[in-house]
Amino acid sequence: MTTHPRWLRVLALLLGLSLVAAACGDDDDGGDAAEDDASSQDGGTVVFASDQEPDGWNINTSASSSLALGQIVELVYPAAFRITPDFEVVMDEDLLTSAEMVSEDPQVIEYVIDPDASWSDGTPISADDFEFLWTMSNGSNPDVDTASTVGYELIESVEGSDDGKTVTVAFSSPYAEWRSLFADLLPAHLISELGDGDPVVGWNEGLADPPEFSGGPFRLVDHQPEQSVTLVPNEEFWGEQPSTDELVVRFDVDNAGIPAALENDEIDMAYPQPQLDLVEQVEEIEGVESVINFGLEFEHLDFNLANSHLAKPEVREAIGFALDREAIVDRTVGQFSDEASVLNNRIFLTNQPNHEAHGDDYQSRDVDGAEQRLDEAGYDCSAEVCTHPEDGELSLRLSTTAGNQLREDTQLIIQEQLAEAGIEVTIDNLEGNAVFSKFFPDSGLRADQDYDMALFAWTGEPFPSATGELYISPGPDMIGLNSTGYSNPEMEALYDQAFAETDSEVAAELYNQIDEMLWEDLPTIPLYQKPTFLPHRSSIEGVQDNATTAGPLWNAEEWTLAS
Amino acid sequence: MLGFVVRRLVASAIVLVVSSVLIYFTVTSFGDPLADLRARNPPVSQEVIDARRAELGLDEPVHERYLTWLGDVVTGDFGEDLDGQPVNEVLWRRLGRTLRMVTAAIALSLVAAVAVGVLSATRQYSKTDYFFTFSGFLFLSMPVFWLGALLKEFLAVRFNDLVGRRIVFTTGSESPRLDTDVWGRMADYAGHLILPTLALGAVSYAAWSRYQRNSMLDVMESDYIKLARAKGASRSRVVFRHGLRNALIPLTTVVAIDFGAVFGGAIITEQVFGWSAMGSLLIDGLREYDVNIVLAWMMVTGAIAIAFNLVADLLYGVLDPRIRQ
Amino acid sequence: MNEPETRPSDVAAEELEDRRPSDPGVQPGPTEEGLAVATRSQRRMIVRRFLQHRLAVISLVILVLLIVGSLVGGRLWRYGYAEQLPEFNQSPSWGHPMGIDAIGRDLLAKVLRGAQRSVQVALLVALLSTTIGTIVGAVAGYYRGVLDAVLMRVTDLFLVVPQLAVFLLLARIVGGGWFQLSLIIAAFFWMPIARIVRAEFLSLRETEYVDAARALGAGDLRIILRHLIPNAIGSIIVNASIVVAVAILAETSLSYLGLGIAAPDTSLGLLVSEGQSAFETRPYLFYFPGLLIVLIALTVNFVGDGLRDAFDPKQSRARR
Repeated sequence: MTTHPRWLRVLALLLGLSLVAAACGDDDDGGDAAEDDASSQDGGTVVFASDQEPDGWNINTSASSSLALGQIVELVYPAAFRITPDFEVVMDEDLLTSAEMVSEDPQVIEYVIDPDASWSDGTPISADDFEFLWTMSNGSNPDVDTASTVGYELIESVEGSDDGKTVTVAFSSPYAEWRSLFADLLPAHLISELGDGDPVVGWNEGLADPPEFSGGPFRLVDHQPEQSVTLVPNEEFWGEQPSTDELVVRFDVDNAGIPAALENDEIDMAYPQPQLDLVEQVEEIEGVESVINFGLEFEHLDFNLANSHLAKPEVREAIGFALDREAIVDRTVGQFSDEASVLNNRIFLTNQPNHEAHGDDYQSRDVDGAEQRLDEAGYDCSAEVCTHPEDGELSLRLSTTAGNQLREDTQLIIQEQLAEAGIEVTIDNLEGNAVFSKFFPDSGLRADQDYDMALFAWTGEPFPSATGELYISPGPDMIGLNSTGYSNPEMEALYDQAFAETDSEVAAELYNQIDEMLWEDLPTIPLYQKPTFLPHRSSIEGVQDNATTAGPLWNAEEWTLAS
Repeated sequence: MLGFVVRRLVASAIVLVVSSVLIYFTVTSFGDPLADLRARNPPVSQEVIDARRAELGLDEPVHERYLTWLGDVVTGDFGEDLDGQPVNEVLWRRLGRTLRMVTAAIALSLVAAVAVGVLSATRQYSKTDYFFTFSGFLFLSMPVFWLGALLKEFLAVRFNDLVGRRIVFTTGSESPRLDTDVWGRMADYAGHLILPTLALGAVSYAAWSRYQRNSMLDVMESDYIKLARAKGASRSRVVFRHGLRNALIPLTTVVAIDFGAVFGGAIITEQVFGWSAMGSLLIDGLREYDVNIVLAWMMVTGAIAIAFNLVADLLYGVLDPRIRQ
Repeated sequence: MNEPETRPSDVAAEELEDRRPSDPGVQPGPTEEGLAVATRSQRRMIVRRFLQHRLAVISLVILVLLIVGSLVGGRLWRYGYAEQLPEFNQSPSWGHPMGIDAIGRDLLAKVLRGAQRSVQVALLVALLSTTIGTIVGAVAGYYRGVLDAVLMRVTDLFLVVPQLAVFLLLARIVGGGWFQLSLIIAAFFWMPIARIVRAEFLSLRETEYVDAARALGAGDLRIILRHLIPNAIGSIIVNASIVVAVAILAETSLSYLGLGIAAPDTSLGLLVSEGQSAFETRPYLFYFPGLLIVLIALTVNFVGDGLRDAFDPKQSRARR
């Protein structure tokens, strides 16, 4: 009996196992870490908690395109134009020295690239890269996965001159929003290399992992799947060098964990969906500041015009009258910001330069007006729920994503408000994203839609032409992205006119007319813009929220760290 | 013995295959794996959705898809997830993290349970005994995530403030961008393990310490212990040399059986402490109806549970001389 | 709790005492009557033993108050859990002891509703799983043979599957109504009861009085219902109480992971997970529902402990 007791051995075995497991989890290759040790010093690190990890790194493909990815790679991929926090589209002065329309009809744009601009491998950024992005994005090759062909399909040619530093882009038909093009340029020569000489393979599959190249102030290193990716200064960047040593983007902090992680110094910044307690809790943490803003996403109520009740304009108007959108805002997004307001324009959001408030008829609640409209449409509202002689009780389903508290709250308030006007609302939600198959069924056919009223968000666009898809009818039986089934030839003509209008002020006027027309017919009612929330350590100077698609990291190269 | 193991393994394989059929057909018939794509904002076009359908083979009949899946799994390939990434890669990576938490929690709660069990048994009906009994019941009655939130507040933020150093971490399985030596890395892992281990280990500690106390009491009353005492062996010698050794036998099998339950409990603990491990793999897989992910999870976890059950049976035979023949 | 340690010999004596009532004479007439009398005295003894367990008695009182309170409390409180008041986002006041949430619902009303749902789930799960478990165990233990083997393999199968994962899968598919949720949980909580009932039946069916009853022409169903189940009732009740505690926690976990009871309905689990982010700003939202869960589960566990002692003093020595 000189050996250790058996139980001791069992324990030792268990402890040993946990160390083996620890070693298993430790599968990073360390090579990347060593590579950039030289540049990193203490105190120069900013840790940002993102709520979504990119699926891949070619933002120009539909497989990988996401807001979260765009907010990271804008520091790595060069772009012709960028969006400022004021929703203005400005030329990127690092990449270009000029970008001008040299001819209106046919439309020709001339870009002049900064002579020093080059990829991190030393190859100059040139017309070849512009041409590459165009050929991949114009939809001509069905094998290429493209996030969006809008605009690129209207380009006739992309030609380089002056050693490739001048790019001449000619359009086959006018495209007003040409500034939206050539964002996220990729190095043509390296992408081909990644696909072993085949640019299409390189494009579709070559960027499954973060690229080593960069054409911006930062480059990507050390991607730990499910955990983090790190951005370090790109020493080859020709513009001003960032002053932070590294920017770590973590993917493993969920919303509920943010306050503790901020307080415990595990993260320095985050960009969560705001919620009252989260906001209040973060505001109490010492050394942390926060900003609340209103972003591009807006919630709206959609009517399925195939529903016999909702097909009647009077019913839609009655709903508009019975809603107290002010009260909805107060009880939802208004809780954490006094600046929250009702959204009265579907195309230009409140913080966009061309915003005009429309929908004057629906600014204050008018239950009597609602009942009057229903009366006109032949409803009998003597009982609790109004009844139509042919279409029966005015009972409508309202569908939204279960589990999204903001939407579920909004839904309950709507239910209560409409009930007072004799309109019964029943809740018909599905968990997570499944509810979208009710609005956009697989077949893409109107007949397969399964909803009465829908509550969800669209992401607004700095470029208003993109809203066309939401309101233009793709055909009588088709849905496309027009979930309501709304169709109005007059409005569609206005859209066509606006698409081609190169004078942006005239175009804005046209878009505002379109929105007024939508208020007239009321296929949808906009409710409010979703807030953004950006808490960050006060020691990081220069942080500014950019509530557009650009996001909170947009000016990371300008941040400095106070000691 | 060998025959027993083989028979058990065959039966387990059948159980796994049957449950994989059930899960495959339930998940595929109820779930819409394209929902995520459809809900993209900005939205994707119908062509993209159609292309993805074809890519995922959703137009083929379910039973053919299942057979393809089964054929691959037999060769050790769990297929691809909805994003087209190989499941194996993500599975093993996450399994490593979960095992790290689970083994640490088991080791900790086992040590604590044995110590407390022995202490309570030797001081039966003392204040100490009542204290541990009560706290054991308390842990058994507490939602894990509630305990986790308490730990975060009181054992991380305030503790770190108190000692003036960040020792305990609240989120994640390790710090990003670690560039230290092995010891620094170990310390970082340990700092991230403290809270999840406590939260996850609390329940099994409570159950096991009760168990250990009871079997200790049983053993201490047996004749041979009384004999040893009568022969003049010291109390501590009797307790540790004879009592504990024999009282540990039943606990060993209980721990082996419970391994699966602790593994399942880790789903919640991982969620509370932001670990990207097996738990979030399953939850995300279910949320997106990613059948390959869900099945890979079930198969691996099922295999682990079955293996430990088998180990429990074998250990029982090996450790308890009365069953050896 | 202050009783002296029971010795093995006491246990044996008590055990004999326990079994005696179920030991019928040979005559049919007196047997039935004698059994009834004996059962009554046995019942009295169990109650007496339970009452000696002070902690269990206190727990039982608290538990009953909690259950009754949660089942009727919502009806007595002046606000409904779904009612939207003109005020919103208010801190606690006399009229609203826990304040009002963002869309104007009284938070105390929500907590009461949550407690009601959680208790309903727990009780329904206990009822269903005990019924299923008793039937399966009874059939397996009474008929033995192939039926037993098949039922026990099925039981093993249910024991091996990772419970929480299967709950999540089923809840994802079926959706989060409290009734569906109870069915799902109950479907995976009956196995321990089945095993225990089977074990009891295997030994009880060999006893003389069962042979006697059979000789007197009693059918299987009558033997199971009149003679076997009453003798196994102790273990059944003790395990049912454990199920109540575990079911409350299971519902909590599912709701925390977003696959349990769904808004606008609510449960204690959902309330705690919502209250998590209010930890520092409105701590009562986190602590109150959480403590309610702990209190219910804890008292159930103590009552179960007391019941175990009362029914089966043989085990009490170690368990208490």
